[in-house]
Amino acid sequence: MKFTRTIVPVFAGVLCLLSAAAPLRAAGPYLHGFDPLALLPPPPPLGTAEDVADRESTLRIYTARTPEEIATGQSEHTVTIFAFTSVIGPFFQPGKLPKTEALFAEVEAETKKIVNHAKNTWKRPRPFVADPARFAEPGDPEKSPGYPSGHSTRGTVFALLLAEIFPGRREAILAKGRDIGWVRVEIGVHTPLDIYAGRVLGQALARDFLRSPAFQADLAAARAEVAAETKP
Amino acid sequence: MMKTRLLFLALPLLGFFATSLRAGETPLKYLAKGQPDALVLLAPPPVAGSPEDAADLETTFQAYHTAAPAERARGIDEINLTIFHFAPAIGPWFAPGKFPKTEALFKEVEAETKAVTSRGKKHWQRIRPYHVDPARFPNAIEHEKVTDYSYPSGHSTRATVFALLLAEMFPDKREALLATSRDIGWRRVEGGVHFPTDIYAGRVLGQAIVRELLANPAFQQDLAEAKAELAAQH
Repeated sequence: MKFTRTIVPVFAGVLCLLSAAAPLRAAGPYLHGFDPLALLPPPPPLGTAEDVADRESTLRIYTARTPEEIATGQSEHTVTIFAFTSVIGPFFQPGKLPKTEALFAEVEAETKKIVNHAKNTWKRPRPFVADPARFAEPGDPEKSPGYPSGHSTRGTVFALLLAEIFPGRREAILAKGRDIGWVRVEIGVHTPLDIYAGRVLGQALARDFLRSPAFQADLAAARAEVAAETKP
Repeated sequence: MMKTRLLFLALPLLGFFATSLRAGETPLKYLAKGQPDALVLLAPPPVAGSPEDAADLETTFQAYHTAAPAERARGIDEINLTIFHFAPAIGPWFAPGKFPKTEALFKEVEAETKAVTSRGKKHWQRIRPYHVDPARFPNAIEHEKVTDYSYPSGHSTRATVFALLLAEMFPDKREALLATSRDIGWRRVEGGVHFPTDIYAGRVLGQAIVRELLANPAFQQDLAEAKAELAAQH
């Protein structure tokens, strides 16, 4: 009896480890031929009145940042769908929804590739790079260029796609998606314009993901998995 | 009895005609109906009263409050925006009254562009900076009624469309044309009549409109004629 009580959890633990070692693969790539350069306007050139205004706005927001905002910004350095647990529900945790996690891992990888293409085309310096003296303590000093914001793009894509799984929480999920972008301004690593560009890009990406039959198939599987997990 | 039946038959027909009249809607010359759709393409503006919205208003106020008199004067001059505001980037020969086909083309483009922006404005109903905070914007360069909405900026959209299409005609002036359109947009912020996010949204929308126009064969035909007209005159 004692033996069974010990061995069963150990066995389950080993199974978990095995499945973590060989993670589920999504059926991507979902996107084909998406061009961020056709969608987004170029950022205002460095030093123009508009560029300066965007950076001054960032400085005002950064200067007024609170300890809570700094903590949130730092905790979201690696932003995943579990940044949305507060608006979806405490059941929404890593390690329980392998199909859902695989779907969003693929979405994240494809999204990052497109964002990086745009960033490396325009090479807009981040606030703390253009003005290190006034942004002395950036909350998450990443090396990549600023426009468009990858966090804002992912926050928007994740939010719009999670809203397909949890339609009843749509508004709260979208608000959280916006906040994932805005906190990046508060910690001095993006300007407001970088964030808006990320939202436009994120909307277009979500639209294209939803048009992909491979994505729709994986989404249906994720929905079923979530439904099984939340069944009372 | 017969008459009543006829009336019953005629009523739905009347309704049908009334609906098509109300919706307006002779088809546009170049753009497909509802394309591009501002509501699909643009992110919503900052939620009224949110920290983002407050930051957007503050940036507008700073730009308005520190704008040089010359920029303000140009903003006023650009209220009735035409392609000839781009003459400094093209050359002094580019003046009104000499290019009827070119002017007709852009007149149609302007009307179609306005239909696209007005759908967004009516949907989001964002109130302009000088109505949100009249005390801080006593001398905004325009003063329209409160239902003349802010998001997206029609001027920024049109300036972007004009610049990108003029760049099709004058490819070697492309950068100067795009810089001019960005400045036209920004002067609307300096004039206190738009938020920075309105201007940015106008650029996104303007790019999408141009993409649709250039994909249209009727537009390409008229564009080729306008190009020929300009080449013959210059």
